[in-house]
Amino acid sequence: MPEPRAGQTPLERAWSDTTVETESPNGRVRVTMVGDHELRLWVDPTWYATVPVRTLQDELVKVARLVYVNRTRAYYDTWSRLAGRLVRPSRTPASPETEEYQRRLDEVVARGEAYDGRIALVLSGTSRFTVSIDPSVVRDLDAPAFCARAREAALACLREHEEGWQRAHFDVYTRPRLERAGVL
Amino acid sequence: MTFDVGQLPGRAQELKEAGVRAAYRELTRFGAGGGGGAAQMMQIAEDSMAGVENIYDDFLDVPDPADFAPKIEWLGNAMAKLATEGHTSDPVTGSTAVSAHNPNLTLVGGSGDYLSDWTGVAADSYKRSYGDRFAPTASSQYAAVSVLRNAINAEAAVWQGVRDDLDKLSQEAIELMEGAGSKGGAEWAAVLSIAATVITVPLTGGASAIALPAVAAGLSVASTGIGLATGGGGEPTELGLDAGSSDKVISSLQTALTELADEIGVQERKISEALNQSSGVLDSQWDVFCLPQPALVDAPNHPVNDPSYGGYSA
Repeated sequence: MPEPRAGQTPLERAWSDTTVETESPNGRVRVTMVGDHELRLWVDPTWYATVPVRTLQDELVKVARLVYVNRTRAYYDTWSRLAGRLVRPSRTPASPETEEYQRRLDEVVARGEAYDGRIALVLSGTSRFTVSIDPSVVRDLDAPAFCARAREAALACLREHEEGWQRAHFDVYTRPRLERAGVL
Repeated sequence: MTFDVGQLPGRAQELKEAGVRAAYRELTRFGAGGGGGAAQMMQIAEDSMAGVENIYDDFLDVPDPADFAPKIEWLGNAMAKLATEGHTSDPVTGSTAVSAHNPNLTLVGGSGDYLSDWTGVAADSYKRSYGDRFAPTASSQYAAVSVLRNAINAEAAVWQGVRDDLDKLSQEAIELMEGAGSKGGAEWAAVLSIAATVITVPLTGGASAIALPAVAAGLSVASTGIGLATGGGGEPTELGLDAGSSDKVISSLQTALTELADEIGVQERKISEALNQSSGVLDSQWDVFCLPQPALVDAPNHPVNDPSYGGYSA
């Protein structure tokens, strides 16, 4: 019988309601995320109808990087608002555990796929993105249908990444405590 | 109004309770626990926070900066008595120290003129050794009192810095504990302002141009109202601390408190070194700060009008 899980922290609750909107450099792609659980993707149908697959992939990678930057900024803004003071990331690893956790985070590779694997998003570490789109996708799907499938791939990738950082956090911070307590 | 350290035991208790919740959250959230059961996990969580309620005990009797205000006021009054013409600013901070110079002192320098028709060693030596030297000597004393006054203000600043830091650290620790175990909550950029509370100021003392090592407050002390020295305070110290888990928040807080205690010693040494050095200057150059004793003091009862003592009117 697993232990009852603890509830969300105030920061987690606030973050789950935080909306971050991002537009790609050429303005043809927009991403709206709410916390870690909701993602809306819009691709300009006119542009999508004629864009080469390679260009579409590149633009999606660029917007994914911008999403990462905007979400990081929004996360610390949310935290600062809750704390009533400026909270920002530390410049250097604060302890061997921080260094190890960051190293483990950097090794997390999360993959999300949709449309029988023909749309795939890979996130390595926290900010390295790869987008793969089979050329048949742009022939078979119109822009709204593509957005729906790409959203599936992105959310799957986010879920896998969440599992990855939680595993890393557990190994670095929690496992030693449980081992010391003789539980593991 | 500075932070009341009487709030620290309450904050320690709040931290402990948040810590137990956070530890339980960590132990049960990430697939941990190994099925050990809620009671066992709660016990581990409580054990990990044992003693946290006493974490601030070493800081419960830090002085109140306001307690230094009366001494600073007394020394300000002394400066007002010693302020000769042209000296109303604080030699250490450069800000205004007294509202006006003491007009009574202006008359002393010219008092030798009243003796111009007197003859004798005493009259001459009064004019040369006392009347003419009165203003620069008072000015040096004015500077010396300012050194002492600013040293006490710096001492008040140290304790204000300690209280400010304790207020921030104790609040931040609770906030971080509430979020411990989150993906982005692994870092704690704690800033200690105490490192900037005392600054050293090389001071040229009064009209005599004697160099007096001095210190000044690096932050404005609300209860004393003395302005900051030119150049302001130093840089606060930023500590990069690990807040990646509930037990790390506690160990990081202990690190910060140890750093705070060490910094109290560092800042106190700056004050004591400056005062020791200034005291050495006063000892070695006593005649700059004190006028020679009049020969009249050693005169026998008669005759005080001997030229060696008081002299006489021509």
